[in-house]
Amino acid sequence: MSLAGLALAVAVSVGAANAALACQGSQVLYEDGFATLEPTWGGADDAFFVEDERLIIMPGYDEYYSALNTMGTYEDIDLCVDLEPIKADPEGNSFAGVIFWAIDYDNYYYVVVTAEQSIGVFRRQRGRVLPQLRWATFDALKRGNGVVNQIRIVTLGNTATIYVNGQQYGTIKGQPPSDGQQIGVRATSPRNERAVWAFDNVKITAPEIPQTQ
Amino acid sequence: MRFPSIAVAAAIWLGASGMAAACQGAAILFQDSFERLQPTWGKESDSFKVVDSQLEVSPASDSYHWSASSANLYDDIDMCVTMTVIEEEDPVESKAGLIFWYVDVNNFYVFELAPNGKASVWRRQRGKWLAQVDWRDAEGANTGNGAINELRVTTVGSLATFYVNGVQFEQLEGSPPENGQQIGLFAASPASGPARFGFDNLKVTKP
Repeated sequence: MSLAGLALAVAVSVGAANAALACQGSQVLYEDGFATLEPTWGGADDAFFVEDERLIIMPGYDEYYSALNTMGTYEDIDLCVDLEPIKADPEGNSFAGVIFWAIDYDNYYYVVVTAEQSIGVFRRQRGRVLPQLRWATFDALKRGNGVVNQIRIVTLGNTATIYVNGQQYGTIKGQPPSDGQQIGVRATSPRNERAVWAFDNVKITAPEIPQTQ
Repeated sequence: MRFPSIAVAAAIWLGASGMAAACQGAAILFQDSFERLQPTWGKESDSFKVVDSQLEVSPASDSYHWSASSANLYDDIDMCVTMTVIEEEDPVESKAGLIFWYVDVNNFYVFELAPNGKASVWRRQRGKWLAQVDWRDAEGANTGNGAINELRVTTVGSLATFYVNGVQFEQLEGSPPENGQQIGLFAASPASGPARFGFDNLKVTKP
């Protein structure tokens, strides 16, 4: 095998390992297929409800909607969520994603994506937004409405690694809560219309480090 | 030991103890040795980049450059950085330093040191620069090209205290942000050409 071929094989193998390991740990900490809206997500309203076994968030005009799940708090997590823009601004003025390292509604980190292949990682601290990884295009994101992207976040100590559809996007160092994190979801609408985002297959496992040979 | 020697030894000891106490708090809030440019500093550019494990800030001629870290908000802080004058042609109009009590691009404070050994404190409020402490000699500052100085700012409530190499420069009553501060780094170049400053060992602890 040529060096290029070997490199390709290794890359495929690593990619496959990443994808295979996503939230496949034996210790499942939380799982939600949204057959119903669990009360730990809070009450349903016209912006937040379950439909066709998916959680729908439809924030008001120029508003964001966030929900922290109160099922439990977690130490290190491997968190996966399927996210579909049903009706999101194709120019990127609507974004949605996954909350981690949450203490309360004014203190958490979040990964958000748009329907035009952009991704950003932010921290909300004391109600202020602090960019952690600024908006950038990421080719692993599928573009457009009606497509599902899997967002995965692995937190280990003060490091969080973000994946999209099995491809690593980036790693940040941050300040996890000292006594366990909550997780959640979040979506934002542009000024001129209400965006619609669907969340499904939320799963948290204890992270498992791949065995090396 | 002769008296002058005792005085020198005492001065060295006092300086050393000042250095030892700087940013040695047990609660480390932030630390950056610039192995790479953390994304919370913003994007790398020709004026702002990591070179050999040091952050180099080199604004264009007759301009300034600053960046606030978006990693955290802080209440009271004890913040230290090692600053090197890599290259300058004008020891008066070249300057660099530490940003504290940062709210946004138009509202923050900055503690500056020039290669001639003079320091000052400025406030940027609503986009306007307001002198807080006028330029004057900072005792203990190293001068010229290649000079390395440790800058330190502590903020406790509305009181900020400034040090150069462990020697207190000044204290200032100011207006900290109500809901926590960001911190950052600043440099300015003279009209005669770009200056180049290096920053390393940035550390924020609880005072």
